[in-house]
Amino acid sequence: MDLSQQLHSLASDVGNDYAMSAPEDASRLIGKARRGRMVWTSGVGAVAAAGAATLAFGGPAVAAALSGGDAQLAPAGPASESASTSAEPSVTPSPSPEPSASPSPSPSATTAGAGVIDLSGGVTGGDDDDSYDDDHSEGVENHSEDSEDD
Amino acid sequence: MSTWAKVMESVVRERRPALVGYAYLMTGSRNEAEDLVQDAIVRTFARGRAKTSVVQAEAYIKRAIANEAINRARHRLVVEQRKPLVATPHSAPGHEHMVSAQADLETALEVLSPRERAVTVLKYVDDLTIASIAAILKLNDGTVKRYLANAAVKLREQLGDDAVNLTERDTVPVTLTESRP
Repeated sequence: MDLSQQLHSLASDVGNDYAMSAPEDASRLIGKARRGRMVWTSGVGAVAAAGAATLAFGGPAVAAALSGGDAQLAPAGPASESASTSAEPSVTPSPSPEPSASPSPSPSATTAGAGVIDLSGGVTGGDDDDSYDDDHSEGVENHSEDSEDD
Repeated sequence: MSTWAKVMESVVRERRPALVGYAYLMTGSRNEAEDLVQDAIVRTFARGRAKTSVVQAEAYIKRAIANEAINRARHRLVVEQRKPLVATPHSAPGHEHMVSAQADLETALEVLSPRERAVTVLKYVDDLTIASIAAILKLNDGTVKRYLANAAVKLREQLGDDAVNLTERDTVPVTLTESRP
């Protein structure tokens, strides 16, 4: 009997032995998972709401960058400011660095939808376990699903 | 009851014993295996995308078990190192326990480090490729090969040469059929 068969046999024996006295606690475990799921989805929901608020009030550059438009994040930084002051030191600064990237109200609504996915993915992507490679947008949906179940 | 809860109930009722056996290979302790499986099941269903099938959920749970077993073993090593030397010794197993082949295998597995043990189980039980094992444990392919080779050497010492065959070796046996006069 080779190693693979021996390992399978050992695991099977332990599993069968455990099955003899396995506790009937499925409902308790489901309850624990449900509570954890509510915490997890509410966390993702908060991040999604924050992302939507950022897109709604945080300025067109962020919205355009998240929507994958031609706006660039780099010009918003200090480098662009120093470049503009060296080129035109006496000119008053314009309020919007990217006038062409400022979306109209209706496009900003569509970019908010895409931005929610990106933002929540970025925040919860710090999870240390790859086995939970999630579609985080579904977490928002699951929140309503869970609340219905409860 | 939502879909994920139904799947979870099926996993707990139908697959839990097999998962405990699997976790036992990783940990070497029945109690820890049970605890590990319970945690892995709850964590798998408490976070992330809702699992819609038992097979899919079991794959996630096994990955969680492998990673968590390594984390716990490493944590235990740190705790053991910090324990005073007067800690209670391990009880010696009885003679009747040692005569069975399974006991030999369990003893041999105890010699392996946590990662060597994990890659051995993933390779010989789950029949995964080197690349798949590396992805699950977040290691390089070469590192996985090294762990497997080290584990094979240790297992051969414990179980004999015939017990472990390294099918993942890249070498090809060559036989000379003609000899020069």
